[in-house]
Amino acid sequence: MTSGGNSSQFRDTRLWKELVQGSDQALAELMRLHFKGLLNYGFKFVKDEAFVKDCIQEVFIDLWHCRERVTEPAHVKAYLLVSLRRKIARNRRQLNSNTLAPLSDEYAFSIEFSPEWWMINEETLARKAQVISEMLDALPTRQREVIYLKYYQGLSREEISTMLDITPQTVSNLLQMAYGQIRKRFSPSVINALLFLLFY
Amino acid sequence: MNYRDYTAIEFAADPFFRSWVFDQDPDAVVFWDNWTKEHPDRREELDEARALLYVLKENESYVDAEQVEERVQDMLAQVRGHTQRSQASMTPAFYRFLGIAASICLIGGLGWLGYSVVSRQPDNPARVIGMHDRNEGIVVRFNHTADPVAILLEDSSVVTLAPESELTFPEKFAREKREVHLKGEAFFQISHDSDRPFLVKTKELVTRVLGTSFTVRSFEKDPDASVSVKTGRVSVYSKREERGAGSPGKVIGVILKPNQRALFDKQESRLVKVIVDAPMRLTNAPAASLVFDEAPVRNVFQTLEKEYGIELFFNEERLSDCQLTANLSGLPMYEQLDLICRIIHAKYEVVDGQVIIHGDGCKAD
Repeated sequence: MTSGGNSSQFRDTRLWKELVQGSDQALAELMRLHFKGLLNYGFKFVKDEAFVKDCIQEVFIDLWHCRERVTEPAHVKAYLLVSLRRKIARNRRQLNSNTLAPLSDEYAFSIEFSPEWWMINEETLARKAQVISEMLDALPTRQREVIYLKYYQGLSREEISTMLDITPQTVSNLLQMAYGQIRKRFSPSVINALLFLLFY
Repeated sequence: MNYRDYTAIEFAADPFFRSWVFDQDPDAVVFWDNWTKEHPDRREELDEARALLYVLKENESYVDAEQVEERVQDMLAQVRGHTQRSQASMTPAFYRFLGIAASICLIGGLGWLGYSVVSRQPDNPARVIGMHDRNEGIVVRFNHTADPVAILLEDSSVVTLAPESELTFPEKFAREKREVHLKGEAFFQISHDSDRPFLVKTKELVTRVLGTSFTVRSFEKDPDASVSVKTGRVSVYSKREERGAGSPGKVIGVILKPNQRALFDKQESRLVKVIVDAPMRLTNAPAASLVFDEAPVRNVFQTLEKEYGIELFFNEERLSDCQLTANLSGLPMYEQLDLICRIIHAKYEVVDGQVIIHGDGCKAD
């Protein structure tokens, strides 16, 4: 899930080629490998696990149905994340059109860090986690997303740039700005930790 | 590899460390649990690293390989044409609509049941325990007797319902969580299921656990409501803080350990953590281990911490000369603390579910 790097990209590309040739086992394997990462990403937008799981399933079903028309992406994982994001935006509009006020476009919703504090048994740890998540949540939407993709999903600068449709230089700039924001607000040890994570 | 010199940031980036926090890899669990015990001085760094990873990990721990596989197989069945779902033409949105419709029926049924129990209560003294309604799948039980009554739930959890108390629960729990509603008081012994948290909702409080035992008390007439823990860990938050529809507000409740109790002041809407009135011993150590002969007071406090699972804070340096000769066995915790403090000329207070010892040391002796 957090493993980035060449070997996993290579594996993803191999699976992609197989599924395009008609192997549904390759499709299943791809879903297995990325399910957790996708669920985590989707949950950042919609706090409804069943809904996100349905969306993930649909992403892979869609992929299967248009496998002959889709061009092979440079970064499979980034492609899947973007697909999920679009799927969530679309399904949410459908879901809400009858019940709630209509939602705006897909970029209006944003990542929020709100761990389940009760899952963290030790209270001191829960407090620390709370401070860190407040710090991340205080960042502007785009910076927050870049941090999340870079660190948690383990995507490279290039992958993030294709995913968000911005240049690699903009990705670097966003990371720099995020760092600047954090430095203004928080203690040195937390900043060091984050800084390290951003650039490691 | 020498982890001794690692800082928080290096831990957070270490693949083996990450496999502990993120994946609960068995080898990593064994290794890091031991390592933590052997290096208490590195605790701060470790905690910082874990906190950071937890924030990023968020809810992921709910998903196990089995759940993933279920979804993968469902997906495969769909692409292979023979769908497991009843009709291929139905969209997920439609399913969700069905789900909403079903839950509205459920809530409606619940309301009706609640009403029928209340309306029937006065003229039916023969009925000791409240009603069941198998058709609706929701059970409401009211304890009219003078004694506690045990109720076995579908997941083999046991609820001991106090007199004049009412428990509402589904005959079969949902796939994602186990939820019951309580008016009055009950003791819960919850079977462990890390995939399905167990929630007890009262008028003011939500108590959430994975598997543990605890008491919830929430009578309409009382000025406060409370949750006390016997075993395991429990989180409690006030209902207004519960993550609701609309704003994804942060839930900041309290986490309770054994012998701790969350107290909710209804008037001030405030949730505080205290120690239960009569803490139970948590260890099976023989009583003889509570007989001390010129023991450093630090050891005595550490023994008590283990006995009751409650944290004791004291100035180790200042109290380093204090020694204790006393027999603490058979005494309740508060009397033990009184006794110790009298001997070492100290005072104690209970703050936030923890005991803090104030003393100037024993140099004069």
